Amino acid sequence: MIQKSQDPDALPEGLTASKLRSEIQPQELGFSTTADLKTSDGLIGQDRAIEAIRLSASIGDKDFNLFVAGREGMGRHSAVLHYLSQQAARRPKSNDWVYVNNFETPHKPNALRLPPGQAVALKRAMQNLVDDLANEVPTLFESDEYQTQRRAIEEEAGEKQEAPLAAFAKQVKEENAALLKTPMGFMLAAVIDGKPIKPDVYEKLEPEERREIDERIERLQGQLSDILKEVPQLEKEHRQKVEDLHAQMAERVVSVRVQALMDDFSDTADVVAYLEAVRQDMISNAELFLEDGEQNETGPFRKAIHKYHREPRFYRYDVNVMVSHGDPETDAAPVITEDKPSLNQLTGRVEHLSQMGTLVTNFTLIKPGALHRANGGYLVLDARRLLAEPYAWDALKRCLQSQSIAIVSLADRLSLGSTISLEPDPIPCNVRVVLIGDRRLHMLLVQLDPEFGTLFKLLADFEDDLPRTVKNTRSMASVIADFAAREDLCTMTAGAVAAVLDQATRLADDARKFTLQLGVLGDLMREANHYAKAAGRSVMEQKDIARAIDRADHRAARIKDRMQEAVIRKTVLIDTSGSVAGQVNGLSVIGIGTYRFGRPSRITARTRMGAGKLVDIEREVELGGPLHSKGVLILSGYLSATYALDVPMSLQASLVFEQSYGGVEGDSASSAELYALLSALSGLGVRQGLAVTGSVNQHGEIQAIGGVNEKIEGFFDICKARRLTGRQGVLIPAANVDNLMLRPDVVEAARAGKFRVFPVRTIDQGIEILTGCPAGKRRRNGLFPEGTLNALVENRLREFAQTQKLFADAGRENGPAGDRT
Amino acid sequence: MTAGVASKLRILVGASSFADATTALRIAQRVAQDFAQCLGGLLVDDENTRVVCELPNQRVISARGAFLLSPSPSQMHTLMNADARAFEHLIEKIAHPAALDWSFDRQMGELIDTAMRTAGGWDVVIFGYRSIHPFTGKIVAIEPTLPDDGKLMDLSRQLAGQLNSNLVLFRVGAETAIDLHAQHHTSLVFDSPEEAIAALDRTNAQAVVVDLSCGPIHSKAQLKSLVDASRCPVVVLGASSWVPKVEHTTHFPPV
Repeated sequence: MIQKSQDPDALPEGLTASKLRSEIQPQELGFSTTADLKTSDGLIGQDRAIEAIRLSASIGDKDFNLFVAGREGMGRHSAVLHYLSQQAARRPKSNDWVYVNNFETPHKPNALRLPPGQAVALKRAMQNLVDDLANEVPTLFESDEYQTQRRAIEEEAGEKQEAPLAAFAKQVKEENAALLKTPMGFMLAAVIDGKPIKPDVYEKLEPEERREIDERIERLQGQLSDILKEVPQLEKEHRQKVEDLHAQMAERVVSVRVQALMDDFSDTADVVAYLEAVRQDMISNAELFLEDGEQNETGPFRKAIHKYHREPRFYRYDVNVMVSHGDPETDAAPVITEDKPSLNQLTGRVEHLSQMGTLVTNFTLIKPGALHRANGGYLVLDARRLLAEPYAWDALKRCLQSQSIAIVSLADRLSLGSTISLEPDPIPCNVRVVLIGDRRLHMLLVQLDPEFGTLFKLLADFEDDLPRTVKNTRSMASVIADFAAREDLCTMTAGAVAAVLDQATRLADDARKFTLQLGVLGDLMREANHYAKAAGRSVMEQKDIARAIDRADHRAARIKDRMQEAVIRKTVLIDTSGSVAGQVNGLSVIGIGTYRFGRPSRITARTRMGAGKLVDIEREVELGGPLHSKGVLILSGYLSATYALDVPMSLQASLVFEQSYGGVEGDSASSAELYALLSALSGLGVRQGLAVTGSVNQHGEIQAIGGVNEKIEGFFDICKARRLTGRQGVLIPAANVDNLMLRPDVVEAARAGKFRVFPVRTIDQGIEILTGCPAGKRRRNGLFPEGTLNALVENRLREFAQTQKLFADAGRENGPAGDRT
Repeated sequence: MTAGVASKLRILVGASSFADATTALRIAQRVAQDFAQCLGGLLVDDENTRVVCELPNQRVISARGAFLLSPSPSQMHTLMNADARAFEHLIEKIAHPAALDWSFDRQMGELIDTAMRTAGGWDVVIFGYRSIHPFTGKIVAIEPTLPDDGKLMDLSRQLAGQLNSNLVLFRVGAETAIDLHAQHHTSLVFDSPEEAIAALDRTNAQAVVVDLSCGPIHSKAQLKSLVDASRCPVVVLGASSWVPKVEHTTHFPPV
């Protein structure tokens, strides 16, 4: 892989340009523009996830709800909607649901199921019924027939009351008494000389006469009392007769009208039962249709066309349509997406009106939720939004478990409601719920909610990337062409498509794959489309894609530029030329939002005799993370197992990321740290034109790391800013060669021999490139060849051990300090 | 109001308690609706009633037939004061929205005598009688035996229409001053006023309308019998014709 040079100062050749960037050649795609391509269904490489979606959509079992996991921009939503809609078209339309008044217990409205499209018909029919009766019933009650019967009832009752009163009045007169009125009621008194008897006259009467008067008056009082006590009973009888008359009159017109409705809805037994309840209620509450009849004459519209059903007194006969599937153009089960899956939006709510400072409600104020709309079909929810809404997740689980939609407000759940509310009939629920989220959320739900696994038995796990085969390349090209057509973008040349595919490879962080983050690629195409149109072209070309990538990088690169500026102005010390012992350019990746860039860091190592301690300064000051500390401890293991095996490890070394103030995590710099240590121990200088990335194990093998492209480009940018000398480059793990998809300018520099990328497998390979000195392999005699780097390191470690032994011996000869006198 | 009823009437409501006045005022309100000028209230504190209250073992029977102890003189005084305030307040409440002049007076005596004595300045006097039951009764018009200006029938018809009641005409004697065939009402013929009053006693009436200036009621005794037998408000027209004429030098109230 690496071509060795005869000149010890000369650098190896490094990877060829073709290895640094695996570009797709436009001519390989087999078309000249996207106009030549057939459309695709927009989703490739997700067979596993699609199988899960299809299974969830078609299986009958109630708990096979689906969790769709994957990263943002993978096309999860569109894929889910696409396949659910396909399946929904094969399923029958869902039923309509309405809430109607429960005349027996109004706070528990009744839910009625109707065939698709019948809910609105029932509502209109009831409105017409009310309007018609509001016109007809008053006319009926104004008729001579009614008035005559009503007067007859009144007269009968009046006569019944007047007859005993008249007889009593006659008797009072005959028995020489008088009926007097007081503010409290009636009094009876004996009459003497045509006038009520006076107390003084009464006192002068003989006792016998007084007794006779008293008895007579008392008897009359009793009779009057009996007559007056009959009044309430007479009133009750009268009221009953009037009500019977009203019912009898109303029934004639109401029954005819309601029967017509019953005939229309005879297929639905629940509706027929409801209409019977309506009929009985209308008959027994006929006076509702008689109120304020005259007021409607004054408006601009005639009474006959007045919409009576809009008046609050007739709300009791309203039909509250919760969900209706009456659209004749749609013949499929519903597929509903709820963007705000709060408790109310999910299960519906009961609204209130403020009347005289009090909150009141009725069944017409019940509002449907997404579960109502999706009943009989599919409901698609964003898992994160759902879990962020208080009690929404709990309510959804409750509905799925009970297979019914019960409307319970948040205030009622928390027992905070202090106003009247409703307990609507739960509506049977048959809905397939699809949650869309990320893998971490799925893992948390599985771990933390024992019910999740029961209710969501299926997982559709979206792949992040797609193998870069010839077939997949063409499929991806079709997806890109389809997206361009769907989004009304310019036609794309094959070069532009190839550029998008190259970017897909770079985003996949793997030269053998394409990313499936179609959303990100779509954004790139939209921006390129803008540039193409701005240039007055109707075709999107490769340069438009390149410009879009470049400008997107430029917009996001403020911090990267400031950091590079600090290096170039030597505020941050990074050498890109010369040779320094114990100093290596390490590489790290910084991520800001969705943008990542590489940045070099100076790693230095200092050594001296000691007790085998390797000090990681980052760790000591708690700027190093656990993975970084692990990497440093591996170095210690490598050193102690590789060098001076017959003497104690007598090294005291310190390692530090110079000018690092924000913490270090990851082990990708562990090889660089080891190189710095070896350089410090051997005293050989490390070429500062080179930078290093890669982790190392205890056997000295270099292991793959992430962000290799950004790291190489980060160092390249620094070198380029200072002038590319041809002696600059980056050492990367050989395992990362497949991840290379470098920027064209880096590739161009490599092709010109101005910058190199060296894949290395072992520490020995790397240190040879960095120092120009052979590493040397241990011979049979147990020694490294003289003059090799490993020999120098081992000798230095032996020196440390020897020095330490001498120091220890001298200490023993001098005895303990405390014994001195 | 239909033609023939004079506009800007002065209506006096006489009653011996607020309970009696309430029903009379309901009638007065109907009559006064469009064409009254002045509404007056007269609460007559009946001396006979006060005296009877002082009888030993006397009891009161409430409108619902319950026995109550009769009020003491001081309680009676308090009750009448309360009734007076309520009566006056109700008069004001009715008169104010209709922009009517109103007045209220309280006198001692017997209701018919006192009211007829006061009737000189009023076109219509309505005697109150508390409602014993809620059943809608008839409007009974006592047909004048002498030719009149049609005011009585107009008023009776208006009341019957407003109260949604049947109008019954009580006629005394064979002579008729009204063309019965032109009217839509029941007519009953009696030989004497006493017979008419006896029939009235058995009739469920909502209001009785009578014109004292045109007969057949000619005496206070007949009027008293009419009011007792009606057991409902009695609307009296021409009451001023019974007020004794005074010398032209005497003016009430003094100027």
